[in-house]
Order: sequence, then structure tokens, then C-alpha cells
Amino acid sequence: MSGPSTLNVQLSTRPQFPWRIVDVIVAGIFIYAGAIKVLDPVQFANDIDNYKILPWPVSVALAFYLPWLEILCGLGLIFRFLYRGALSILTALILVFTLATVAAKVRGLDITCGCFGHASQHWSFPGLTC
Amino acid sequence: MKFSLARQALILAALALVPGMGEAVYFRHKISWQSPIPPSELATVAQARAWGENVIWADARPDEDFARDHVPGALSLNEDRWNELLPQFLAAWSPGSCTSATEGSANS
Repeated sequence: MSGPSTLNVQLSTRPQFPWRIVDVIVAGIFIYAGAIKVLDPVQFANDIDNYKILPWPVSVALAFYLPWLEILCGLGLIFRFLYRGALSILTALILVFTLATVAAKVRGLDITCGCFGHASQHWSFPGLTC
Repeated sequence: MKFSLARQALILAALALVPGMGEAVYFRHKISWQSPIPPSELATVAQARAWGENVIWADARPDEDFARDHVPGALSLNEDRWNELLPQFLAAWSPGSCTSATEGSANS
């Protein structure tokens, strides 16, 4: 009852402090990015369309949907609500976005990433990768 | 919460649909689901004809399409030969000159 099993329970339920900081920072970035895109979905739809991967109606749908998903998952990260699901979704989003960015670069598209809406219009891709 | 990872992700994905759809309804007049160009910027053929000589037409299609047929007086300005074609385009038009058809102003 006591000893190893109690220790195991403690380790798995008490989030370690450094990772909490990372959680909050990452979540903060996603919530901020999501909020900016919520305010201007038309711009975001155009940014998605610039990658020339998806048809326009799908770009519009994603422009309305993705920012809220980002915000929700960010909140999940901070408040440890559906934490693992939130983390997986955010990881998947980053992966897909990275692939899309690579595809755009390979095809020679000179486009803004659209991550932070209007604010990121003049960022270069190398700068963004860093 | 003790759901599996997949179920957690599904719940989050489903929850995000609610504000997403709400926003789609809120912005329904500001964006067209059919085309990236907002309805206010689209012109009908009749409108374009009515403009007559008061507009400069920039044809952004590839050379073959332009050579095959184009609006009389249109200037070719496509991606493939952008550097070559830009000077002659700028000779006819400069940034800041009024090109609004609704005001009916002619380009000098």
C-alpha cells in the first residue's frame, strides 16, 4: 500500500515544475495565435489558401475552426483539462503546418505563414523556423 | 479526466466546432464560400463593358493565353515574365493614380 505504489502515484499526478512552465508558454503562444486569427478569419482563410493545397471552401471552414481549436487546446494545457488530447492535437497541428510550409517552400511559393495573422506578414521563413 | 487520448482529442475537436460554427454564422456576410474574391470586388461583364476606356486591364494569365485572345488594350503582366513586363505596365499606370470605376475617373 505505502512505499513504491504511493511514490508512483505521486510522480504521475504531480506535474513537475519545469514542464508546467513549458506548458504555460506553449499554451500561451497558441492561445495568442488563435485569438488573433479569430478576430480576422477572412485574412486567415486567404493565408491558408495561399498554400494552394486545399480548395477554397475548405480553407474557409478551417479558418473558422482551427483558431478555436488552438485556443481550446491551449486552455486544456494550462488548466490540465483533457491534457493529453490537447497536447496531441497541438502536436499534430504543428506537424501538419510544418509539412505545409515545407511543401510551399519547395514549390517556390513566397507566402506569409499566417500563424499570427497580420502580425506575421513580414516574417521570413528562416526567421520563423528559428 | 480519465478518458483515452483519442477520446480526449475527439472531445476537444467536437467542442471547438461550436464557437467555430458560431463564428461562421457571424461572419457570413464578410466572406464568400465560393470564391476568395469578396462579392463586393467582383464585377459583371456588363459592368466591365460600361467602364469602356476608363480602365486599364492587367492580364495575369500565361503568355499563350494572352496571345490567343485578350481584352483589347489589355497589358500582359504575368508571373513568368514579371520583370520584363512590369516596366511597360508601369508606363501606363502608376501607384496612387485613381482607378476606381465607380468614380468614373480616367487614368492619365
